[in-house]
Amino acid sequence: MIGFTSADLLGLLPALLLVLAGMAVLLLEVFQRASFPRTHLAYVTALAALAAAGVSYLIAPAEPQTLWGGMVRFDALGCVITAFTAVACAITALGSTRYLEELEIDRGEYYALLLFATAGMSVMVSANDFVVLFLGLEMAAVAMYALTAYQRRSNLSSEAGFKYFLLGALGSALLVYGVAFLTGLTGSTGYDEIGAALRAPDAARHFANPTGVVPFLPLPLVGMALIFVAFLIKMAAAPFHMWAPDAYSGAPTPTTGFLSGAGKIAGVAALFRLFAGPFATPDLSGGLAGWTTLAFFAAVASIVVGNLVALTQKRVRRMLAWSSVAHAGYLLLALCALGVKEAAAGSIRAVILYGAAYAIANAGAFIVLAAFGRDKAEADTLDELSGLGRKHPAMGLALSLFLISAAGLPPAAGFVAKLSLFSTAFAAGEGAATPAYCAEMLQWLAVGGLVLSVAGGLAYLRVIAHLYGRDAHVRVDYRPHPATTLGVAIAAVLTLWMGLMPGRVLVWGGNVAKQLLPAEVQAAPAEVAPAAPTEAPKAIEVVPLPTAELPL
Amino acid sequence: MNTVATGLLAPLLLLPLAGAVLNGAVGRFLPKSLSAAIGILSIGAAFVVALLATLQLHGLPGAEAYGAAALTQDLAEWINVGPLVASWALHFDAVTAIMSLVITGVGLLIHLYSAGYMHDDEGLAKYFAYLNLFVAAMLSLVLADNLVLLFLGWEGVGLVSWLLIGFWYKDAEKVDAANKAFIANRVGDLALMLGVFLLFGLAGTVHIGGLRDWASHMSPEQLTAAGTLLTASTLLLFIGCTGKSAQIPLYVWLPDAMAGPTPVSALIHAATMVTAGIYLMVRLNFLFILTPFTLSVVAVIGLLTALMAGAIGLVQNDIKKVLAYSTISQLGFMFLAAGVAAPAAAMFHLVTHAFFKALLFLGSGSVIHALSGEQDIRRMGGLGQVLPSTSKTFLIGCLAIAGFPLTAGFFSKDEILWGVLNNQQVLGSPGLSAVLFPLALFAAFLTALYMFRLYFTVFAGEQRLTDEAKSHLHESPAIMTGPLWVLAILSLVAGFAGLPHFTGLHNHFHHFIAPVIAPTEALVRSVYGPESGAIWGCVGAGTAAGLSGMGLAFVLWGRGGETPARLAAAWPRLHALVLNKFYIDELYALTFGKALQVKSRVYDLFVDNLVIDTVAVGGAGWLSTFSGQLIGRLQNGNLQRYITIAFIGLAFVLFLIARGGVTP
Repeated sequence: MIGFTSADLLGLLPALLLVLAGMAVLLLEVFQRASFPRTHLAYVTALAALAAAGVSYLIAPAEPQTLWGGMVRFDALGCVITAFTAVACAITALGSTRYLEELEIDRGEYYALLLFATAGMSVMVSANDFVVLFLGLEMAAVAMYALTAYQRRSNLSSEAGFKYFLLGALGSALLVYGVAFLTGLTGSTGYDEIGAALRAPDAARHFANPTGVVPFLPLPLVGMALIFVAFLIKMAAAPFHMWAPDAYSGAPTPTTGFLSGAGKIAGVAALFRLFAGPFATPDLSGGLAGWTTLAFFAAVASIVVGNLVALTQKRVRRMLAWSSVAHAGYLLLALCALGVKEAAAGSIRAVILYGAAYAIANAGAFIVLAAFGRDKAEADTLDELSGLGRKHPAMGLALSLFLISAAGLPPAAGFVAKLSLFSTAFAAGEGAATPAYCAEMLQWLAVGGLVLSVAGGLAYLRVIAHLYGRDAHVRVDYRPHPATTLGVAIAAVLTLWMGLMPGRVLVWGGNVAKQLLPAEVQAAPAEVAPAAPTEAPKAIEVVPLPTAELPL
Repeated sequence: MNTVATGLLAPLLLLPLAGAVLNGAVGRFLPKSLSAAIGILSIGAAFVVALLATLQLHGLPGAEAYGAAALTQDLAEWINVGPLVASWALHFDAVTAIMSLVITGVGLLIHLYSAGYMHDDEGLAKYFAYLNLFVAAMLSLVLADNLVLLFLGWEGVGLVSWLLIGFWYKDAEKVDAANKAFIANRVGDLALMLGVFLLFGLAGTVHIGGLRDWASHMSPEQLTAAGTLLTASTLLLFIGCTGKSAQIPLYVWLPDAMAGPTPVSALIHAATMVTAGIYLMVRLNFLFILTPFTLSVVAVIGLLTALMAGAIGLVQNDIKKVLAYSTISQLGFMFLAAGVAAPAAAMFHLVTHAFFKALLFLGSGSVIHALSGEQDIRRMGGLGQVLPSTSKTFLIGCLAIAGFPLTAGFFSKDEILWGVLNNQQVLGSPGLSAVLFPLALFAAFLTALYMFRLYFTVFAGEQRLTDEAKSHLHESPAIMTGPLWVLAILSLVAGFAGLPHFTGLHNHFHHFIAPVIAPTEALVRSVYGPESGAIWGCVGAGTAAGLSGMGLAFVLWGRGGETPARLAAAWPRLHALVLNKFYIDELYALTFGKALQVKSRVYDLFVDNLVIDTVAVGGAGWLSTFSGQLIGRLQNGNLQRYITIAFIGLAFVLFLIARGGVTP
């Protein structure tokens, strides 16, 4: 690769915009007087992030393009995920102002880190090469480690950051290790080349056991498995989730929503690109049905562990942290369905809507929580939240909306998202090409997931019950700020919009599916799924008199 | 299908909604006149939009073919899960056009009237917000292009009805009436939902156009196969209609619903909401004609309701209750028409009834207003001179509903009677018509009788007012009498839109909605030839029934004699039976009410407390919490342990690969 063209730059424009804005924020921090109110930086950050979201919406290409000599894939998936992570970033930045002031950590770096993390996620989902993937992943991860440990004077925060860092490093190591296997076998780091080599007619014989050292482990599979596990760690899916509750409850409250929401959907989007791309067999049926097993176990473990432990938590932030494990499980449920040809497109649409709904509502929930506190700490026990819904109707209503969305109840976005997710998973079980054992597994998972989401719903509804059903008996300060109100309003409007009119987001998801899936899958009958028939016959034949034929 | 996308439908729906939101949000800070203006103008604008849409529809080419010409507007995707596709999509064809014009037109007049009627009420802004919300919900019901959206509107109008019946919520009796209406409607709604589910299971779509294609493309074998279930689903839909449109057995809520403000009774409980069931039957006429059994049930229930409600209306003494039973009776007529495969007649009567019944209700409101809240007709009388506009318009309304020649009701009622006489074989049992027709004539006779009893008792004879009522006696202001006169003119002339075919003149109304009801028309035509001369006899019989009812009413009540009282004394048991509304309320209270209470008690004790709360919820909760704590105990903050568990997970993944569970 010698040079690059303006098209190459255009494809990465949102990420570039975010990085430049991050640098600008850093410079502003350095060259401003100490008295300069840092809340201005929140507005700058939010503006930049929303601009990046708008740009990725505007430049989304009609056909997928490969840029930077094959290293970057510029398509609807990258654009949609970038847009939603950027919006989550904007919401988080707007909700951080008073919180940071209160804790005396309102420095510009905070906002720059948020922007860098978002840029990293954007690169990660656009990657078409493992080197770029790693670059994006680390760019996001390093920024997120720093954000987690941002309260330097707090032991809890430092510990959280350190744990996150160590487990994250383990994940990165596994990723690199897995990539090493694949590159060693195929001689390339590019998705397209690796995919082509793995799908070559003689691949099975060629790769089956090149060394003969470990006779029962096919090496390409080991590589793929390591990469998969690396992502499970990053997404905090069980049983690789152990770092998450500690990290999430130590991080500054507004960032937790960003880390757990946006971070997760960027990870799952990158996984979707891998499993629909290089790791897929041409019709998705053979290879991914197999991968379905892995995704299946991770999904089951995450949904069970996340929901059940969330029920026992007394602190709302920790409850949300645990339930984020469950949400990772739901996203993996969609990955299971991706393995079934008939359900593949549906699973992508569902995951886009679910991811968007979760990232936005989660960011919103945490910034509402950040607005309440006392003595430099956040208010997040159920006792402290009691009666706040009646004392602060707008904030209470918004928090309830976000929790309702997470619980998957109408009219919030989470309802439609869960509906399409579970029905896709259930439909996947009915796919013609689905191996029998998978079919039953998937349907049980869909049903079981539904049952467990009811259990999980209890955890959210308990918070709402405290918000409205109990009297406030602990002194809790409300720290209002116009920026926070704006952030909450954005999140609430989007959550309602996606709940009442999910059509637009589903159309985006449909574009993503069209660009992501191989052409063979597009032709699958389920994809044709016509809207309700509108063509009526030109003239009616006289209906035969039905009197006599009818059994009644 | 010749559908044309248009931008007119969204404003039609959103204008009343915007009015509702505006009045609901900031109405209480605005001066009353401004609140009223917002409410009236938003409906007025919606009426103009409905007119424009109707004109556009009328101008479309090829409007005669079945299922032809319609305007559509897709707003957004809503539910799209597998085969279940329900969008925010609006559909505007001839039937929708008529319904929209009635809803917004009569709605506009009633909004105007309300501004006068409610001008002293504290909750004026709230009232207009509810009224606008009602119009929006009703429009979404008739504009929906799928049954899910239709159901949303169906529930919406039910909700607003509940809000408005209980508008004066400080009066416990009114709140009870609201709850009664809501609960009776819930029973119907449940059946409607089941019907829609069943239909979705059969046809695989909830889109009305899709259902029509499905129904019209069915081969006789498929029809036989689907027969029983299809009949069940249409029956369930009809039970849903009996709830909303107050038919036997679910009619009991409507008389009590008169607890709401009188304009509300006129708009919701006479002109529009209660006709939703008729609308649904006409909208889905292509399904109902496939199930003759259901049609017979509809016809019989409609006629029985018309007779029973007419009889009860004859002995009621509350002016609004008389009108309420009259509404139930007229709705029965419409169902009778729908049941004998004459949807055009049902629709036509729906429109004319909307005019004259709204007129009668508003007139009664004007009387109540003039008498400072008096509703008992035994304490009225002789109001003709005092309330000139009200009494004249009320008389026109009575003539129209009684079917006096050349008024609106004359044409629409004759069309129904003709349908009953002519379409007998559609019902599946030809003998049925021989019973239906004379009874329908009798019901028409009853209508004239009870309406003119009301008119003579209220406006003729000597004044029997209380002193308090006498002191404030006055004719209503122009903002109230204006709408009365407009409705009165409509009640006189609207019939000419649907001149009977046999006169050789053009039936505009029938022609206009023909595309929508083509399947039914085709069926009727396939059984019968062109209309015969027997229709003259039918018209004559119908007119005679109406005129003799009016004549008898004049003899009994118009001259102030003692005859009615003597008649009542002669048959005390019969009188008591009818006076007490056949004891249906008591019967329901005794059977469903009591049984429900006992069952609820048992259920509460054993099922709810023991099985659900203790074993199921408590047990599941305990199990979840317990296992949650168990897993949570692994979470001890120890980093080494976290990494160990991660590696165990990795080992498990590699194990899965090794045992061949994953094949690339």
